[in-house]
Amino acid sequence: MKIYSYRHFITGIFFTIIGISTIWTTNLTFTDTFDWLELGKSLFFIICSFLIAGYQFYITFSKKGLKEHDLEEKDERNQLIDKSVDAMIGKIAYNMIFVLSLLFIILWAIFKIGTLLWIGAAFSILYTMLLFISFAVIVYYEKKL
Amino acid sequence: MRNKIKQYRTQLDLTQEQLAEKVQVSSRTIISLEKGKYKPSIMLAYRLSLLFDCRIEDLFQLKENLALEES
Repeated sequence: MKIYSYRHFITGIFFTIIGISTIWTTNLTFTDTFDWLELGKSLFFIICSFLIAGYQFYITFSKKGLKEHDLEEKDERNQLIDKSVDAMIGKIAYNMIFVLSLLFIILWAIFKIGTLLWIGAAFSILYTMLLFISFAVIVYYEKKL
Repeated sequence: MRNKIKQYRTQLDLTQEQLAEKVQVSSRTIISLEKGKYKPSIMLAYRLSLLFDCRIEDLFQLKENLALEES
C-alpha cells in the first residue's frame, strides 16, 4: 500500500494511540453510578478516536479519498461556512461572558458572598480583554483589506 | 443570485460532480450555486466562465441581478 499523505498517516497513528491508551487506562470497578458515566465517556472517546483514525488511514492510502478530502478542505463555500460558524460561536461566547459577568455581580449584590464577586470580576476582565482584542482585530483587518 | 450555470452545464453534458471537479469545488457548492443560494468568489466565477466559454456578466445575469438588487 502506498502512503499518499504522511500528515494524515501520522494523525491516524496519533488517534489510534489515543484510542488504545483510553482502552488501556479505563479501569472500572462498577461500585457506583460514576463508573457507568466513566464507561460512557471512555466509550465515546474510544469510538471517536477510532473513527477519526479510520478516516485518516482511508485518506492516507486512497488517492481518490485524499483528492476528495483536499477538495472539501479547499472548497470556498466550506471555508465560508467554517468562518461563519467561528464568528457565530465567538459572538455567542462574547455575549455570554457579558451576561455571566453581570449575573455574578448581581448575585454578589444580593447574597454578599465574596466568591461571586471574584467570579464576576473574572468574567468582566475576560470581557474587557475580548473587547480590546476585537478592536485590535478590527484595526488589523482595516489595514489588511 | 440568478445564474445560468445549470443551463451551460447541461449544454456541455456535464454532471454536477464533473463540473465541481473541473472548477475545483465540492459538488454541494455547485448545487448551491445552481439554486442561486450561494454567491461565488470572483475566481470561481472566472473559472466557470472560462470553462463555459462565456462572459461572467452573461453567466451571472448581471442585468437581472442588478434589477433584483435595486427592487
